[in-house]
Amino acid sequence: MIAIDREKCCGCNYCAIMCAQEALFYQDYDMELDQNKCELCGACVYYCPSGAIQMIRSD
Amino acid sequence: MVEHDFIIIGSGIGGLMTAAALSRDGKKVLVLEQLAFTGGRYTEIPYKGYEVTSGAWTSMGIKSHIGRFCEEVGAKVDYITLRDKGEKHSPASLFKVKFNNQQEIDFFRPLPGTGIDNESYFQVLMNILAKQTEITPETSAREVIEAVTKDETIHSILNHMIGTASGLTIDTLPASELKTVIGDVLKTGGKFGFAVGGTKNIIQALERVILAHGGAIRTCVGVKSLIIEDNIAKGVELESGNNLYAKNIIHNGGAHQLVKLAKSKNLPNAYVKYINHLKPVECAAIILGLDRPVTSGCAITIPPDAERAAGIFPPTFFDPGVAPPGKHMIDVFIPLQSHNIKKEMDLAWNDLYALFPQLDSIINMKMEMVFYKDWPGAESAQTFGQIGDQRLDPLSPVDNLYLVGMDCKGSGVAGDLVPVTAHLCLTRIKEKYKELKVPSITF
Repeated sequence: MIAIDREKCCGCNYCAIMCAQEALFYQDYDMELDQNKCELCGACVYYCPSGAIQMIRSD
Repeated sequence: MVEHDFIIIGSGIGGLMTAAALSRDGKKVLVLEQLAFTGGRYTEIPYKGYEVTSGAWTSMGIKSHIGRFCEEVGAKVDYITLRDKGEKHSPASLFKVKFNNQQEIDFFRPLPGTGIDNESYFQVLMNILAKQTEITPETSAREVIEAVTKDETIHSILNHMIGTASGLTIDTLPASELKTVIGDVLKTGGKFGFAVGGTKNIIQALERVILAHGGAIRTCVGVKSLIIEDNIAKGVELESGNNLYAKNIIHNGGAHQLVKLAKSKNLPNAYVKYINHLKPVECAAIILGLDRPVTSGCAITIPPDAERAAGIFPPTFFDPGVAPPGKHMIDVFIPLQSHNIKKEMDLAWNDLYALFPQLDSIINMKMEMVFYKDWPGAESAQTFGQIGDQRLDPLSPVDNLYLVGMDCKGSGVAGDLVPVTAHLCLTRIKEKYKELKVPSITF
């Protein structure tokens, strides 16, 4: 699954801009992820300049 | 095994400019970028048919530091200039001032009600440039501005212009930097321009130079640490666990990342302390896609009544191709005054609704961006104790390790400071490699 560290997130929104599924969005100035829309492509991890997004195994 | 003359960490415009110049001169370079895209804060990302900036608005065109550096290293960029937009736009439409009562005043018109007869905004800027007061590194922009005019409307206009150019205020921007900013902007004149397709085309032009000369650029490659032995940089350890070795390393990843990668124990205490106490530029932006334009015939709209919106730039005024057909885009720059992001952005939105009362009915794309924490507008704001030669030298305390980018020595308008640092970085490298040409431009 995708995990967001809100302490690290600066709110640049690069991840939301590039997410093809529109699963990431900046709501009330906190980054939120719609797990139902997310297809776990992992691209957001490589669009985050502050290292706030990680792909982690959920098992 | 040493495979590269230079490994450049970070593909921001500083890293790419330095890499392009070194490649052109026959050096084998490898640029490593941890993100999936190159250009850092100096590119665009496609979004809903718009080219949304990752930070920068424009290079200001061919006569900017960036424009001249690119031309010198053979990176060909096409611009659309104010002059291309028609004579009436050149150069009087570099700035317009717009008040909340909807009154608009252009660059060369007298400012009404300011008590300065027949003096335009342009003339006030010229008076500041000409003012021969004694300036020390501690003199604020306000001191020089107040010596020229006591008018509070003009103070507010200049405060917003300074906010747009540097993310600072008339109290936190040193006067010497103000003079550089005004001089550099005015020098662009009618040639003030926008790269066709956006700033990413400047990035791509630099990449073409690097690739054409045998250099390489790798994305999604994070660097975990620098390999330093006996105070000599030897290479990099990648996040993947592999090591890459090079004769020289150039760091374009920001000052704090430098400490993290090099480790404090490998750097002098005073050096680490300077970096740890840097004051950053903390800022935000609102990017809007619109059904019709809201700014009229100018490059930058300055709103002196606004509380947070410092300046408004319409990329589609120059190049309609960065938006879907028939649509328009504005970039609103917002220097942050607190970490209460909701409050800061609410104030900026209030500014926009006051300036453009019809806004809600014409927005078709909305993107808010905040730049602070580990990804600020710049780690080293151009403020007291952090200007000109007070900034980091590209020659680092570690042998064979060089720096380039917004933290290094120099002055300029926002990102246009970066080529000054690239030039100095190349000058330092030339002390070792005499055959290097180094761009012959002066700043």
